[in-house]
Amino acid sequence: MAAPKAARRLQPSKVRVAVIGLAVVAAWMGMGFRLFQIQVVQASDLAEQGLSQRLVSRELAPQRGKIFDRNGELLAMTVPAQSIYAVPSQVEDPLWFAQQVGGLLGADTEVLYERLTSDRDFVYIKRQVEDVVANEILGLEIRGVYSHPEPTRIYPAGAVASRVTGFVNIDGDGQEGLELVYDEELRGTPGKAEFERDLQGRVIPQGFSRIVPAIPGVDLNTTIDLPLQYQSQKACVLALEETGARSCWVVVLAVETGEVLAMVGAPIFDPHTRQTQDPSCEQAEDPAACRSFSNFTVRGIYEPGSTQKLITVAAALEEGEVSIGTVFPGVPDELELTDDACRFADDEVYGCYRDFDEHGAEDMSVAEIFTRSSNIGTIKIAATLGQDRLIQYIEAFGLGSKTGIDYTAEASGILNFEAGCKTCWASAAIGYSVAVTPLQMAAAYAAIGNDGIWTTPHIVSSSTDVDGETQVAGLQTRRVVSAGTALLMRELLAAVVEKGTGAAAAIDGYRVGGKTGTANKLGDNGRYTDVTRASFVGMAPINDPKVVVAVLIDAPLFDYRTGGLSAAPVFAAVMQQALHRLGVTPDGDQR
Amino acid sequence: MTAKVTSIASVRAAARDRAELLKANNRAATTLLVVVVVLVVVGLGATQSASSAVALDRTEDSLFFFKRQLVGVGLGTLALLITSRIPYRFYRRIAVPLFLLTIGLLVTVLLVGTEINGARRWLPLPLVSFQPSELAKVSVVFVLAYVLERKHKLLYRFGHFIVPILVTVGLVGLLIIKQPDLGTLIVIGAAALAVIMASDAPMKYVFVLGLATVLAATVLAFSESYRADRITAFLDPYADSSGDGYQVIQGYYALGNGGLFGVGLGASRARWFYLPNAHTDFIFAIIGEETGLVGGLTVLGLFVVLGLAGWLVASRAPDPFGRMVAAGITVWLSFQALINIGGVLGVVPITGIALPFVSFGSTDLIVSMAALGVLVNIAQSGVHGKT
Repeated sequence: MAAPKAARRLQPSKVRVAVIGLAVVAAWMGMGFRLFQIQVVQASDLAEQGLSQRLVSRELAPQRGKIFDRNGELLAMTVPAQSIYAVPSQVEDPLWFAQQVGGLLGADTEVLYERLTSDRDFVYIKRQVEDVVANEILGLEIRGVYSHPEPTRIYPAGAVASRVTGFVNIDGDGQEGLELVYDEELRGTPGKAEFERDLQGRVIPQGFSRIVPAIPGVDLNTTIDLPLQYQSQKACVLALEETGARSCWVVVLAVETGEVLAMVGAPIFDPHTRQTQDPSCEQAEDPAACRSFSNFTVRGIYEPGSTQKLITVAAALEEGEVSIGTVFPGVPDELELTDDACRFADDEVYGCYRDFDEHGAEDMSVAEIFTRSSNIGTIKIAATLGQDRLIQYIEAFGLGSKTGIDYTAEASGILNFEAGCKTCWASAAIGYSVAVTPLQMAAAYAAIGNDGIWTTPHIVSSSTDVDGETQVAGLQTRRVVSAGTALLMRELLAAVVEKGTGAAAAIDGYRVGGKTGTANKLGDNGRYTDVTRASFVGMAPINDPKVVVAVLIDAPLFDYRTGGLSAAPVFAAVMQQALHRLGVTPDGDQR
Repeated sequence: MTAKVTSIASVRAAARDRAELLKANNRAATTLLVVVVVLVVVGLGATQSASSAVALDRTEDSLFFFKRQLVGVGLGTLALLITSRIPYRFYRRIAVPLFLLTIGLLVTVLLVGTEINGARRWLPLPLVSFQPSELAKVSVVFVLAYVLERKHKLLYRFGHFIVPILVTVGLVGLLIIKQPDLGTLIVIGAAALAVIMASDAPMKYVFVLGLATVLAATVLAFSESYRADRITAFLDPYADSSGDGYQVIQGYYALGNGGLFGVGLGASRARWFYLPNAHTDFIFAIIGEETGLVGGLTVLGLFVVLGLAGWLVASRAPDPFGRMVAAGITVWLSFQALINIGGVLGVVPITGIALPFVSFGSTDLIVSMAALGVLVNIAQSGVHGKT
């Protein structure tokens, strides 16, 4: 029995069949091992690599924060819009397309045609089109036309608040004004959408996905009063028309808080198009500067002229060198600090000072000097202080350094007291050889209005994010002169309006105080010209000032060359509106 | 053996032996059928999963490939039912005519075949495309088994051993190289080698032949630049991860993503156009991704069981022809599965051949199922020495 079985088993072919079987089984075991290696040992690495080729991450753009005025009116907001683009390769008739589609959207048809016939694979027809318009265009179902959502920034107040809000570029980056200062806060934090896509770019239904929502930008609550802003701008625009000036700038400050109630400039510009609406800019000497989006009230510097005398006189009073009634005997209308300076024409030798009006030598009190704005008298007052103490007060009033307002690229101004300059102190006393910004001067006057305490001007009072409202903190205040000195100065300022150079600044029902300023501009050759910068800075009501208004008019026609003629009326218009807006009780006579 | 007294007992014992073996063989046949049914079902599911995205993209019918595979399964089942009922001895008679027909078709396909990707493999028939090389797998096994059985007493002479092999395998091989379809040729070579090993030919001849085959395969592999590229890609797929190595790497990603238990049916990521030929050559990667190591090992296990059952059938076949045919078919199916899965796992170069019973593709499915039917028939045809 055993023999045949053994014989059968030993047949070579049978052995070999067994070998085949073993070989196959061994091969399968090898496969199993390899499978284990891939699916267990290397699995996580491989899965991760695979995922990384499928995973796409899209940034979710956060909604940009809004900007409000002090009453909750919108100055800037972001609204949904669509950007319409074409895929040139799908456009059958570029010429027809450029004319029809481009025409509908108001795009430049020639440029569009050029782009459509180039080898680009993506051409914007028009970006950030209103949803309604975009849907209408897309509804025409023209081959090659597509859109993607791209929110756009709009400024409901239009040109009225453009100097304050500034604007963003087409990509939504802050370029000017608050949009630039608070760009980071307004911008918010982008979110992220992650998902798995197939090789053709579509979402894989069963794939992993995760959405981290974007955090919207904070809303800014400003101190701007939109109606006042509007009235101020209107006054400025009218002033340009009347005086033929190159530009007009107004800053309105709340005396007690340093809040900027209005900040305007003319010519105006539209923050949407970033174009000035003033066609006269085409003929202007310098069209670019005319069209400038910059804010001169914060960045522009000018020699203030007589408005500076407030500081000179206040310093002398505070230091006890003079009193209101101190009389300077025989004040002439011309003074030579450098020998023979007045004998040379123009400014070849510095050191000749003259009053605006010719007069014989007369005895003048400090009050008279101030109200009549006598240069020579003011220099004599300054002489009682000496240069060091004068500089000390100029700096205390905030000239020569940034006020710290929340606005970009603020100018420091210039205090020119170079060593060896024998006349600089005298020039500075009457507002030459120093350069200031309109805002600096407004803040200096506000210190007098605020019983001698200087306060940092600011535009944004609080911000609102998802967690609620946060007040802006860290505003600086400092005492500059005593309350008594401030009171005296206010009376002098009132006198300027009541019987001095600032008569045009008077308004019904309120006692107004202020100072005119007229400074000749330096020409290209470094000499003073007939062209002036006319200014008026003042406050009301004078007994308890609530508002400071600073007006600067650049290069008015000769007939309007003084601050009293061109700037004081603008001041009156703006101040009246400001008092009205703030509901300030009248303290003066009805005329 | 000579004693008369033992004759009754020995007859009884032999009868008992035979009954047991028959039972065992029936079990083997049942096992084979179960394995195939499971593999075919797995294949249908995996085909749908792997192909729906591509199908939708190309034809707007996500069931496009599934429906075709369903037709293939129907025809394959029919073929299996028929061949399992045809006594395998019948193939002795048709072995030579079938072989000649195959040669004829292989020549025809070279002349009028449809060229796809630089290869002429397909005969354009009115309803379905047909690959003569698939038929060649069957006919080479049959004709080689037939010839080697008839010559089994002369096989100790090398000439008698080698000439029939060269005439059959060599001729088919040349015609298939002309197409070219090296993957199928390798499977045919392996099947032929299995038939030869299961024959009564001397060991040394078999050894020499085996060595010569490996050598020839190596030369062939490097004879065409695209094959050499595939082999380079196989040695280091990451060297050209967006080119020749791309498919293997995407297969790895799929398998790695599947991990132990898989991402779930229909949840494959690779099928979203990342893995080329996901429903054909690389269907195993989709199975591994969706059902994980567990599913992958199950498929491997099914093929091991198929191989073992086939091996049992071969070793218990009633005659040398049956043994050789069973060995040939078993090795063909096992080897084809090994080469396919090995390609996905990066242990052998990619050849482009299908995973039997599982990959999308009607011709391969029908021919494989028909071959399995033959195996079932051999299993049910009795035991060695008794006919």
